[in-house]
Amino acid sequence: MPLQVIGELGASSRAVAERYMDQVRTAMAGQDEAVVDTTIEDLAEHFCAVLEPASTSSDVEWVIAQLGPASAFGDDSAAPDRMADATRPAGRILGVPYDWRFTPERVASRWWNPRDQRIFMPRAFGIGWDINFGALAVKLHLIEPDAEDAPFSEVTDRAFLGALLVPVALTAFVVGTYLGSRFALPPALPSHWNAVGMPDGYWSQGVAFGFLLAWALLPTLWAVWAVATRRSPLTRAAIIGVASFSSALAAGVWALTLATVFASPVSPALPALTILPCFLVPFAVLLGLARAGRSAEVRRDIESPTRGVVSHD
Amino acid sequence: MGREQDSWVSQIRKGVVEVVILGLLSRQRMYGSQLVEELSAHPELAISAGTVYPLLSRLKKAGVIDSMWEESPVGPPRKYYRLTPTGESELVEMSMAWRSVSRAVDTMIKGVAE
Repeated sequence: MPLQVIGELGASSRAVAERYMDQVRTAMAGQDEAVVDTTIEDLAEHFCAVLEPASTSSDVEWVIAQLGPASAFGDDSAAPDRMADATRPAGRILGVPYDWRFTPERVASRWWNPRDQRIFMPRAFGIGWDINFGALAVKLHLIEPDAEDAPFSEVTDRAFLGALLVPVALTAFVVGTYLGSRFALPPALPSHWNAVGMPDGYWSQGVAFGFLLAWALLPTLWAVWAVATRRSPLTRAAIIGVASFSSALAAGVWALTLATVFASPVSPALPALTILPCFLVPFAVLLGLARAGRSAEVRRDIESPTRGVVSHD
Repeated sequence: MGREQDSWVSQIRKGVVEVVILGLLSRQRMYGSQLVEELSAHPELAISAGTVYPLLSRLKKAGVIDSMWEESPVGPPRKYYRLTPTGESELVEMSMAWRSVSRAVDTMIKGVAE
């Protein structure tokens, strides 16, 4: 089973990993702090992905041997390349970050990291940046940076089930409205809109609906599987977040399709408005889960206040 | 101040942030924003919330500090941090090391820019 955090390693193994990361940080002294932090974060994630709680210090040294000497990270241009060589492609093109290593945990760490003040984080998968909804929630005073000891770790199964209802409901909206209107729909449906909100591309009804259905349904089924098999809290939150994003996008585009067909001409602003829920829905879902985790921590501590705390008063 | 000096000062700040936070927590239990506020009273340290919260998380994972939610007389509950016995021992060792290094450096730069 992969590690969630480096701290799960035994003391000697952890010391080897942490010493290497400290050496990398020292070697990168003078470089952009955000780049240094991202590199260290990536290294920690790499250790977590390839090691297990029972890994020995020799295992850690083997991983380090694959990564190469810490001093190599001191060369600004070499650092991303070495990371890419050691794992899978990741780095920067003309200053724009890219990363093709997809894991739900990486998505969660980019989309919800309230302790990190950066709103835009290097994308967990793809090119560009992701929105750190956690930092946004802190800026909006919706949650404290340290509301949870570890993101989503105390979220109850019931709260996960509630969050899962969001992508399920959005997928049901796509399916339900199609079934209710399929006989009134024309054989070709808009598949693309221009800058002023007018359709400029068409697909057959079956292809257009099938594409949006797959876009909503597949991630939602993935989320159902994650909740049903009780994956780790971070994994469940990440997959529900991804499913919320994709189902909101599919529902938004489907709603725009129906509006174009039945209420044409549409407002020029409407296509842009369909994008907004893609961000608002996962933001609300992740915030709801984090607040549920916070409430669980508060209950845990206030209802059993002697939990392993040393009194100094 | 040149770029290299900026980087050097930044490294010093990074090096002391842990002992500074442990030192504050040795006096009394504190919540996150209280720590940030206390540290902001020392602009020479330039320690921001973006540094404090990740560090608190790391220190807690390392067993140096512990945290606990407590009811607040004003407003919502707050997560208070305090030192563990391990943290107390580490703080003693770090303080001794800091004083020793500080004395040695002071000796060597005595008379410079005074």
